[in-house]
Amino acid sequence: MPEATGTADPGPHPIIELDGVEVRYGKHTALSNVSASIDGGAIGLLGPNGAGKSSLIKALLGLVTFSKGSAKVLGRTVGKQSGVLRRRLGYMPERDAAFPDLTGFQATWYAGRLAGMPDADARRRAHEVLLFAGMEEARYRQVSTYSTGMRQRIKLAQALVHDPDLLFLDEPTNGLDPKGRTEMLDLIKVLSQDKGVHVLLSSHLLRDVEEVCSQVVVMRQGQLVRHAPVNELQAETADACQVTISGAFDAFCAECAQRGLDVLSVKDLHLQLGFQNGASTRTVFEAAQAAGAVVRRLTPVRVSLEDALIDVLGGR
Amino acid sequence: MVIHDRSYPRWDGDRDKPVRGIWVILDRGVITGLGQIFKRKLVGQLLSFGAFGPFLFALGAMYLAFFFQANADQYGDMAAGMQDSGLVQMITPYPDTVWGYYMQIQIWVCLLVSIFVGSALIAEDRRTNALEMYLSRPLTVLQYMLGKLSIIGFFLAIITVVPVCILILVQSFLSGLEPTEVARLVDLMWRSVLAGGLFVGMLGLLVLTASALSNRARNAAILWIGFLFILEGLVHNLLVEQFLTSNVHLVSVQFNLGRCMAWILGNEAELIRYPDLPVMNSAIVLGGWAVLCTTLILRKVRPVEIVA
Repeated sequence: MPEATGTADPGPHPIIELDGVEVRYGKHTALSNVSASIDGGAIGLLGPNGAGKSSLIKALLGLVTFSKGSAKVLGRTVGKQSGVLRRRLGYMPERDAAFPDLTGFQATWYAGRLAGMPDADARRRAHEVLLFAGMEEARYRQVSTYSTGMRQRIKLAQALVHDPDLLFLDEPTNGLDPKGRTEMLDLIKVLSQDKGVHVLLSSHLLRDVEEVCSQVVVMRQGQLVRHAPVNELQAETADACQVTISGAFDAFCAECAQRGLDVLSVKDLHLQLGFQNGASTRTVFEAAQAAGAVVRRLTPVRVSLEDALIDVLGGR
Repeated sequence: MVIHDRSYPRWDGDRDKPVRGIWVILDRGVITGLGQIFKRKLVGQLLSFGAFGPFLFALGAMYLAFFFQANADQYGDMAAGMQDSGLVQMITPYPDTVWGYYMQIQIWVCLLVSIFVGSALIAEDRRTNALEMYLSRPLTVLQYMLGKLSIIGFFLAIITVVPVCILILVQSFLSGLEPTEVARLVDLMWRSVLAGGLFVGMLGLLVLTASALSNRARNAAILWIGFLFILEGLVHNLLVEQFLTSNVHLVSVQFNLGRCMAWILGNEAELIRYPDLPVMNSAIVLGGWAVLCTTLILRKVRPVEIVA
């Protein structure tokens, strides 16, 4: 069995195409007019609760039908070709889900068989992915006796057993302790960075996405509000710095406003300034010089994906 | 020290081969079902005895009748005794004996098997959210349903249709492959398979519906027993007592099943018991039950739980 390492086959470009997708559950609209063209790699799916992240994953798997629009995954039309498509997709659901009365090995083997693998291949792959997921000690125990962390790992093994090209992970670190979370993210990183498996990671934990993904899709109220590389999103968001000045305070604030520096917060002579329109730390010194004030202290503030997301979602 | 390879190898198998999802579900389901039956050894043994006891008795009696007749000079009295007691008539495959085997002898053990095996089929998948796992694979809801139906169908068929077919085959060999008898038995064979298929399919569909309506095997079993007790027992008998007309028999699934199976088998004795009630009426009622059950199962087997 060949071992894939390094950069993987990029496959069809892009891997996910959405064209005016709408999904409704009765009267409730879960996804509304979602259009995007998403390239391969590790993609983070972000958004608050109820934003439509899980609905988007289920729609791409063909588990829910579109009210309007269409979608293609790995070059195949969702719905018409879902049967063929699902052989190339892996899915790790958010909820606790297990085949009843089976051991870890049996459940993983069964998942492989259901995905169309021959019996012998499914058995071999089940052992391989269980070892990869760190389940070698517990694979012959009933899944019902597993801890939360082990259940997450067995779900990952079941999603991987048929060697999917695209893996949908819905909140994979839910309920994991910090060590388990790090290990799970490491496994996902190995898959996406070394083994060439495209990953769509839905999470409300921004640090998970920041750690693993190279691009993010941000959703809000069933709509796709942003799709961009992580670093681009961070770069676009106003960077900031904390400044302590002495001297002409009001004049300094006025100069800042003229030069594209937003005064985000003020406490005595300490200010937090947001950079706009190409402004930088140099601009702060120029404003101080023009106002006749002295910069006593300047500390750059790193913009996390969380800040970027709050910006995108209109939180500030 | 064993050194395990913890890397992630890719699979280079053929992804374009057709997926035999129904077969995979059946294969796994039969093993799980046997585990459920034999979870308590005594229950498993009693159920096996009840399931195959009548068949083994008929097989033994059939052989003895043949043996006594073939050695009539030695066992003439025994052969005559078996004939006079009506045992030979009872065990020789005819439309009425096959009907009786399905509807009067095996139906009780079939109900027990349906409770032990059938009630867990969908209910446990709903409890453990396994539906999401099944339906995210290349498997349709219909294939899933047929897979589950085939599991209960398998267990019911091996205690009804298969023994009947074996008895018919044995009888045709014991008759010395006499052409007229063989022709009669071939005709009876396909009728028995058809009638047995209806019996197994209908019973399987009903217990599968009870299973789909619950999210625990125990609740599904209670629902199934309740359905049998209330509709088949209480309501049916009360209506018969109250209205004294044969039309009220149509509320009973067992009655309609028996009528349709009698028609398929050509069991005239059973058909003339209710001459004013056309078999077509029973067939329509059974068809209605089948549509209702399928609709209910398809509504309950969903990968996404929609909370209103």
